[in-house]
Amino acid sequence: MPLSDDDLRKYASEITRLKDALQQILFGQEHLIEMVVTGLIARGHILLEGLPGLGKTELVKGLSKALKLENKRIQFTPDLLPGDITGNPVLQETPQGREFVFQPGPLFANLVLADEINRASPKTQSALLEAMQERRVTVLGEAHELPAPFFVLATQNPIELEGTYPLPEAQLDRFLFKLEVLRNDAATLQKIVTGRELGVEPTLEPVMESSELAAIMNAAREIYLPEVVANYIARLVDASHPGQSKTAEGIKFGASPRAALSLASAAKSRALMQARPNASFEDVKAVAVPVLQHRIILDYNARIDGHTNRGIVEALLAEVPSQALETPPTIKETAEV
Amino acid sequence: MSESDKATAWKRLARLTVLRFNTGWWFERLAPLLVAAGLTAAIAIIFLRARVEALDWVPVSASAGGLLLLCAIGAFFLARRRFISTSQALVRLESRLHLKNALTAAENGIAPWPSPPAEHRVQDGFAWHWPRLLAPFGIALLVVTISLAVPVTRVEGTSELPPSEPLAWEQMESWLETLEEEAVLEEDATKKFRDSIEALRERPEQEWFAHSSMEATDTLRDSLNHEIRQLATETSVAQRNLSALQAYSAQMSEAVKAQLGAEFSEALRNLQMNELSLNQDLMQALNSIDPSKLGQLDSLSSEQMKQLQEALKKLSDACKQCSGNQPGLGKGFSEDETALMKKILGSCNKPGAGNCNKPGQSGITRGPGTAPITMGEEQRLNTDNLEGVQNPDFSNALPADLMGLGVTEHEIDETLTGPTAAGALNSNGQGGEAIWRDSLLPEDKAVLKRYFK
Repeated sequence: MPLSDDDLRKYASEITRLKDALQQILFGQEHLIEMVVTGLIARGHILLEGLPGLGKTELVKGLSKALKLENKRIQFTPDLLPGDITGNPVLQETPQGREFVFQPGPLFANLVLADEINRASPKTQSALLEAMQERRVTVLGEAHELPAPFFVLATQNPIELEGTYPLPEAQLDRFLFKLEVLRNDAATLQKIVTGRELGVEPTLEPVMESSELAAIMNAAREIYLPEVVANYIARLVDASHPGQSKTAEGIKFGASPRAALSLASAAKSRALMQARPNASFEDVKAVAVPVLQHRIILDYNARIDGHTNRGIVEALLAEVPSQALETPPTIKETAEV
Repeated sequence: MSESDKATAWKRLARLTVLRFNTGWWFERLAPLLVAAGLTAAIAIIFLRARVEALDWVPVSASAGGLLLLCAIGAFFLARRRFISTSQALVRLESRLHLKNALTAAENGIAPWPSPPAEHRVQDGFAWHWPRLLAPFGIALLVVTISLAVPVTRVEGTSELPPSEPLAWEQMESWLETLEEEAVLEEDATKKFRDSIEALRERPEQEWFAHSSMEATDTLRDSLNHEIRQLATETSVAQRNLSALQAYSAQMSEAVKAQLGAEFSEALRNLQMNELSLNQDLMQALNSIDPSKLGQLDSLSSEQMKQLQEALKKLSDACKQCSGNQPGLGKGFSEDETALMKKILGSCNKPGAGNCNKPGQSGITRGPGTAPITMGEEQRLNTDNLEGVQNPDFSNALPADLMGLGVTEHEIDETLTGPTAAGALNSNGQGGEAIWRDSLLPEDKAVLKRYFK
């Protein structure tokens, strides 16, 4: 049952309000906000990478305020233990005697801000795996469901910095998007300096109830994914594997099937944000870089030659045509208008 | 515009795209067939022009049309699997017009059809690649035109050359003709040899040069040659003895006359036994001669004797001529060979040709030629006595000069290298060197070398 035009317009309007609200607290990062909202609607976890002080934490806090969701912040440090984020059983006096009672950790929130996730040890990083994939944590053999919706928005500093541990590939694959937070230009900085005061958090009124967010997320699933678009996604992901395309010569390991699912989900979300009943090639191209760039692993030669994951994904987009149509040599392609 | 009108408009545009795309593939597959058909037609036209005076254009045109039709059908079947459908054309259109897959969604009933473009030109981003499209037609046409324009020599039936027969047959027939021209042999004296040659000739042509045929030919030629040589020898002996007895009978002793007479009689017997028998008149004339009476009695007039001698001489010359033309039968050098020998021998004692008077000694002018002229006597350089030169001043010694001898110990590298086996060094070094040896793959090493170069 396709979505009606009215539904599409209503959901798109609500999403626009959310984006506008976020732009009130984070100036000059329209594309970043667009992508974060897209990831949110696609029920994905997001990894934000950028230097300190660029507004990553502010964005997540603003998102929780605008969505009126319970949010927790975990500052990852090298001595942080898995139990510190999942929660621990504590011995308590009860009418029945002393017994262990589970004390939920900071993961038990709708929106978890995992700040500087790559400063924690790999053991602690891995503790997030189950929470992100299964949306539950298991402590002493007992599974505890996490509240719905559950999103992890993690920030990390570039791994070249001192005291960072690169995230394991399995965990990276569980992030829908990896977004790079770039520095602002001078005009935006001037706007920030003029409108903000150090140490004073900007106020933001909620623009959406959690039920409305759930409806939007459900609507995104109803977006029609044409067969040709699904075929494009499949060819794009397949081309990321060594030997499947010219660009993949510099790739050691390609993207997983989860990457294909993520591409489809993100493309649908983007279509809903634009009030369209169907996903398109353009949607896939728009979300391909944040979806794929952290899921492919470059080989040694490519890294030495200065290739980046982003550049490789962009080369893949240029190499793989949206439609698998082999044009005869008797016909030539004209320039696009 | 209603939804159905929009759908119709978009599908019409899609069909135009389908037509252009599929026709493009059809032309692509047709191209090699067309060139091949052009070449085939050109060869056929040249073949026909060489054999037919005036081409009948009706069957030629019909054949060309049929060939083109076959090519077209073949190209269709070859290109068919690359043809696209209207749905694929719609995807192409929406992709080129940035409609965000709206046409596909509309075709599937998910979304309404967007408004078709105002201009009805197909905006599918395809354009004909004219050089590629027309080149095969041009090539085929050019080849056919050349085949029609190029001058062709008419082929008039079969013109096979008569097979050449073994030379020995011709040679034997030539000998027989020479003998027959002298008219001193019996008419059917040569018949046996001619029959034998004809018998060989009547065998199949492909067997003329077979081993058996060549053997028979050689045997026949040897036999004929033997008969001719014997005829020449006997007639020569007869003519010589007859002349001698006729002229010098009076001065000869009886013994000599008897010997010459016996030789003459022996020659006559041999001539009678020869396969190439002399004609009856000549034989009778020779038989009527009594050699013992020659020079004493005028048994034959001098005129008759002269005619007889001339007849024998002519036969003898003819036989010598025949046998003399055959190489390898003891005839000595022919005139040509003699002239060649004279030419060769005449070049003796010329510069670079050696001395004919001193076989094996070589000539005075043989060799590299005259010694080069020198401008005076060579000076004696006194290189027999060599004296050593000593330089006691070591400060100016060259690097390789020996400056002294001393006794020292070897410098031994005492760095721990670990136990070795079969000449292999077990220690892999430390730090970066160990990583370089143990951890890095050849391609990694190549990259690092390139990077740090």
